[in-house]
Amino acid sequence: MARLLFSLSLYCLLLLVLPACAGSLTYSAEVIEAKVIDAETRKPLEGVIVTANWQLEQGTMGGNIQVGQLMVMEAVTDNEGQFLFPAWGPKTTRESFLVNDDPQILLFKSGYEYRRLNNPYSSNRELRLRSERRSQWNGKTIEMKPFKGTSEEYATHLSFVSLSWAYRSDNCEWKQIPRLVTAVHEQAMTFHQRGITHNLFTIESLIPYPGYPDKCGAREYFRGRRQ
Amino acid sequence: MFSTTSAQAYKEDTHENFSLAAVQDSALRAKPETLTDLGLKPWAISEAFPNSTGQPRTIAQLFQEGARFEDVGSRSLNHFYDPLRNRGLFGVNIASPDWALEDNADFGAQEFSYKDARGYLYQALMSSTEDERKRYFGRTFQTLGQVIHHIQDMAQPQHVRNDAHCDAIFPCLIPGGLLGLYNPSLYEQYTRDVGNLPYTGYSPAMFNTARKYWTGNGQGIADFSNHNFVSAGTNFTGTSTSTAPNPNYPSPNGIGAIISTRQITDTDLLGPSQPLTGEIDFIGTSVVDSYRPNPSDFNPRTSSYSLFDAELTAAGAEKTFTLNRFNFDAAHTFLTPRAVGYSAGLINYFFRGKLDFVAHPSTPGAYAIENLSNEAMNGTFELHYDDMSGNRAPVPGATWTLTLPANGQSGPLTFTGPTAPLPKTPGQYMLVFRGVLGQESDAVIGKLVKCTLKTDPAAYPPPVFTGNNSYESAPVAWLTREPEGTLMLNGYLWIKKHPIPPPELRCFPLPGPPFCAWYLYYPPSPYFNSYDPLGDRYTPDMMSGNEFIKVWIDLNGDQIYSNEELVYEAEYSPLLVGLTWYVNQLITINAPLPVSPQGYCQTMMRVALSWGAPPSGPYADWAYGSVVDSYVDLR
Repeated sequence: MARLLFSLSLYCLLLLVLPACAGSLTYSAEVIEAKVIDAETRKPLEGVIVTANWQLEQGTMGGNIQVGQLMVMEAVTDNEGQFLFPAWGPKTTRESFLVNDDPQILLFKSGYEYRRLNNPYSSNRELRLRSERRSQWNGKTIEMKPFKGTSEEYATHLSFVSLSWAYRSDNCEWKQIPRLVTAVHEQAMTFHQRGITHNLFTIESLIPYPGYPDKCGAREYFRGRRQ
Repeated sequence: MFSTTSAQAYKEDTHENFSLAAVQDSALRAKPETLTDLGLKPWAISEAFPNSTGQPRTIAQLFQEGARFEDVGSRSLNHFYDPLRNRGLFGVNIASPDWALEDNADFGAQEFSYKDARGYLYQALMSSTEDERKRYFGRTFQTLGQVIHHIQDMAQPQHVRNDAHCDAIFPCLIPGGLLGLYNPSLYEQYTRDVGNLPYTGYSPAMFNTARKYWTGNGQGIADFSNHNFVSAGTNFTGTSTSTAPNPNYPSPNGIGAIISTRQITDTDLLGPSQPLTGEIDFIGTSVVDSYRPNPSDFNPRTSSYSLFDAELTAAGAEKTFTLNRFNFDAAHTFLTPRAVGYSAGLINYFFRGKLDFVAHPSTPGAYAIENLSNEAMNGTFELHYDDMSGNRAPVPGATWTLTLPANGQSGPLTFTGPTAPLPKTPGQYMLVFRGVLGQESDAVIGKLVKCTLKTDPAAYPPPVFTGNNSYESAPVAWLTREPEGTLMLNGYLWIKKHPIPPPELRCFPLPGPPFCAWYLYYPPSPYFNSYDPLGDRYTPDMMSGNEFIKVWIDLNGDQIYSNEELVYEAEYSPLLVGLTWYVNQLITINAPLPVSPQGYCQTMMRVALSWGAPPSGPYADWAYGSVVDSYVDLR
């Protein structure tokens, strides 16, 4: 504890002489190319919507918080089940950073279990701080399982696909994944028409109520969509 | 300035999933009246409310976002609680239950505590405009999401054993790896990576105070995590053969621990063809659940004793106690279901109060408040109503300060139904309680009162006929409307759809063989369904000539059908189909508003049919016709 208190005190002193400890980091990412197959038939799966997001975190006085995305991409598998995210960068961030599980990759196709993929965590500092980001899923074959169960069970399964990062009103990241937003909306409507309770975001989820700011212009973007 | 140490708990995605599982396991979903009592649609309808940025969100999504928002800024410094010392991180930050509940003191920067949720719920029940009410409901659910975030953090051993962990590159690593504060939580990252956690298996816990969800008699979730698990910074000491507890935390103490020695080349640990070699001693200890004791609970991998530490950075050093993914895996089977079960329990605790507002059993025209809870209530009860434009206002003279014992009832209460402005739905009120509920000093309960008075069907005299008429009193219980939320049109009476009686094969006598002309007889149905596109059939027992129908509803509950209560009249020409004349007519009954200031929402309806000329009145006598009295539900 004494060592910790000393470190804290030293850090407090540094805060005074090094304004905000502010720093910038530069990142780039290598290409990600992979193949998606049906886990049962082993055949290529076409039309799978794949998104990749490089999530920025920020070390504030209160710990890490997610502060948006450095990059968001979307692709759809072709008839060979292939998808590709091109390399990007360099991009610079200030006072925020990537952790080494990036990018988070989401695969969605109606009727299948969704998949969420990321690099396994490592506390290796060199890996964690590396400016060239690399997905361990590059070059891999990814299986997707047809969902086995009732429609109600499928709705429950999909309720755990965590997408709230993309549906925020301030960062407008939903504009970069239009196919996923639309596909999830259509899935929600399918559940709705069958009277199945679900927890999926719809396009209406993006449109603020009257009187609230609409930074992303969702009202105009989806004019006429809200019932 | 101790707040320079980072302190985030489970990752946001993990919290979202914990919270989703919890709210789905709570009374909000399992007991539809939990929401409908508040005037909301049941869970299955997925009603939307604005989140704090004005976007429409379902209740489940609000709980999820609340769990995510709780980590914003420096709030997470207040997510620690050491139940042995009753204090927060380092003893200088606010303890988790103090911050999340605000039951001992208010904090200026805190707007999302349990106490705040109570205030938001109160506003949601009695604010004037519907927009305001929806906004406050949204805030209520989001705030509860932030509160149960704490319950989930208490299921992370580092958070109950004063074991800070800084995950931030800025400011804990750059600049200043020398600072030595960079200490990311492998446990939390591993939780996130695992994804599919065992959310189920621990039914919602129920305590008689909110604080006991954290601590109390060793049964709180913080007590459980602190007592049964070690953390990265508070691991065992000694050796695997002589295990001693951490100096700051006497439990788990390692006494009686079962040691299992495994080679890391075992394929169930690392899989085949991995290059590492080494040995791990897993330290297994009993798990004590003081809330739901199960003597057989045993964690075979509470800790590890090995060179093979989690980061492989200690290779070559002496063996040490450490935690790795095998320990995390084992811990999750105990901690995750409890994080969900305690979270769901706290949601249930928040919504546990139950009320009703009924006709007083012995004082005609008076009402009584029923406490349907197992805890006493002492506080203010007030009625509010919605006017024709949807604005909510207090009912004049309908505020009472009462003490009601558990499952008790008040004495007779009277008030005058509001008339200025006119109510949107006469007889419908929002009963709001604020005050002491059991051991909670400032609880809020809402009860949408939809039916305040019922008429007594036995008090209605049957008609007196002298001609060829029939009379039938519908042999059914009180009718109820279709499930809430499926229909919501103002100004109409909705009468429950009643199944069409099946036709009967009847014989029309013939003078000679075959002696019968068989025909289908359609029994009369007094029930009218104005929203069924197929309509209900009514078959008057007539063969030809126009049919006349009149319908009265005892709207004011005075047990008399008056001319002012005539709600429908029409003339129909029966159709001949085969050998049968019948009327197949869809009707819609428009009820005048207000129906009744007192709100007789369950009353009687009289349907009179006659042939040749309309019935002259509800108590008239005429030749050839029938009268059917039915109960109707006007809610």
